[in-house]
Amino acid sequence: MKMIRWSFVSVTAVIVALIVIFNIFFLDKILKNIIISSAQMVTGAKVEIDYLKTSLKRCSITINGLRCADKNDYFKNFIDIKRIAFDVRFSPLLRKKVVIDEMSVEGIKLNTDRKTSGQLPPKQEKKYKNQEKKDGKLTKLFNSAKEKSVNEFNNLPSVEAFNTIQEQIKNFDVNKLVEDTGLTSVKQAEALSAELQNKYKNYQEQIKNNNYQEKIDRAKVLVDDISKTNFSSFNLSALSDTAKKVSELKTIKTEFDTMLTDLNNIKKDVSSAVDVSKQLKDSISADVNNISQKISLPNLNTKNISQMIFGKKWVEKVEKVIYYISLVKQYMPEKSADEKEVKPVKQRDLGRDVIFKQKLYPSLLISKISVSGNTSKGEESAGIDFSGLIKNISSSPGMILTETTVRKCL
Amino acid sequence: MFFLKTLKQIVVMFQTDISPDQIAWGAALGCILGLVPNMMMKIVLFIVIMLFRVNITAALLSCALYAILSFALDPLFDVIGFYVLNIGILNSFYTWLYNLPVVPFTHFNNSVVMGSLIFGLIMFVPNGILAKKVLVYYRTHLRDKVSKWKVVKILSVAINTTKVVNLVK
Repeated sequence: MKMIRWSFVSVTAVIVALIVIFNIFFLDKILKNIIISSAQMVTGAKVEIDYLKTSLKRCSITINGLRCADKNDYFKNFIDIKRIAFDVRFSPLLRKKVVIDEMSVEGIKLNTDRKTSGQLPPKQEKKYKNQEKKDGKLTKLFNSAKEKSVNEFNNLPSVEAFNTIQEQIKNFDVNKLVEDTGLTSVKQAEALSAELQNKYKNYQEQIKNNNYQEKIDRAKVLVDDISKTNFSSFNLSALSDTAKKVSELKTIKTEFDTMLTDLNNIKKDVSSAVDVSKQLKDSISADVNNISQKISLPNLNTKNISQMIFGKKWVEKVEKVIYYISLVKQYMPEKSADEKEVKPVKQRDLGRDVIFKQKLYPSLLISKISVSGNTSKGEESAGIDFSGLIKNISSSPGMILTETTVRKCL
Repeated sequence: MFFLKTLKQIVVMFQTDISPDQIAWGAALGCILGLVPNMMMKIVLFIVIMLFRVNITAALLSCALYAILSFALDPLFDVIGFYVLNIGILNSFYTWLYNLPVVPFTHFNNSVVMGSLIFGLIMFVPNGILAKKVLVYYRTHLRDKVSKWKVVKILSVAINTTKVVNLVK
């Protein structure tokens, strides 16, 4: 028993026990109070959290019903978030692997109504004001940074895009749009149908005028008569009669030939009508393109992601800084040979890593990332519901055997 | 001050009658602590040193000495570690170890880490025995001579004074 340093064991045990007790009984309450008080100090209005739960075992934090009241209108919430969740599995962390089960911000709403006033109690307000006074320069700096960031946020291309989408949906009028665009396909369809109807009438009249059925019947009769003629009797009158019939049959034949050419012409017309339907389709697609251009939603392209995230101003600023650094570098004196030779601190050998097969988890797995909400500002506008979901992002997709899915919805 | 305190603690270790076993095993554990380059393994070893009743000063002194020595021994550790990590029979054991919690942080799959750990563990018992023998020899043959040195005398006075001050407090 003398081998073990019991003083160390007891101190460690007490510390561990205190940490566990703190986590079980106090962490959630303390964390909730810290979040609320710091958010209230920043916003200057009431901040409420319905439910906050942390778990050390799962390394998770869940916040339900986060509402920040608006400082300018105490009966409105500046932001209302239904659920925020972040959940990392603890045991993979001990295996040098990161498995995130969930990263979610759900039900984001802006400018929602409040049942109670969001004004802070006078005591708390005074306390925060005093703190602001104490902080002085820091608060000013913070406020200016906040203003700048709000402006930057509003100028973000994505936010601008949302605003234009909202405006377009607000002012959307189908009739006006059709009038403005002047659909060519409708006019073309009307003209083509009139043309086709005319042709149909002409063909009908032509068929009526030519009495094809009568001619066919007459030809049948003539053919019968000619076939009944007895050429062996040498009856001249009968022969001359037959010759007449043959000549009549010949004229009917020429008429039939013209009829056949007419039919061929009709066939050609019909086949050209098929081309007309193609033309009609083309003009319809041209019209659709025309309309979609006029009501086109702003393109949320991924080319300038940095601009989308940080805004144009910040990107420009960073570019400026990089430019000035390169400018300064040109005029800086070159390092002497002694300065260039910086003696490196001797490090231990890096050795060679032998990699063994990884089981259970990949090095990184994010099971679910989701964001959802509504862009409406108050109850007067319906807003746009938006949601995004990414599932199963993994460093080794072969290990999880489920495909990565990305879903966005506007 | 830190340097003086450390020097004082070393003098206390050698000149007083602290158990040679505690000092010897402290030095042996300190040897592994000094040789292993991985921080996680160092933390585990430090906890072990704190947990067992071994002399911490001896452990830290030995750690410092072996840390200097390890720079020269690294190529040897690399060879040993790489050989041990590539023993076919142990592959399934290493895989199991690799997938255990906390263990991957020790970076045991690195040849230098594994080599230094193996070397430290092999040297653990001989180190302990050697340290004990050296200490016993020192205390029987050299302690009296060293105690006559001026530096040691000053330091022993300082030690005694702090003891008296602590008693008065």
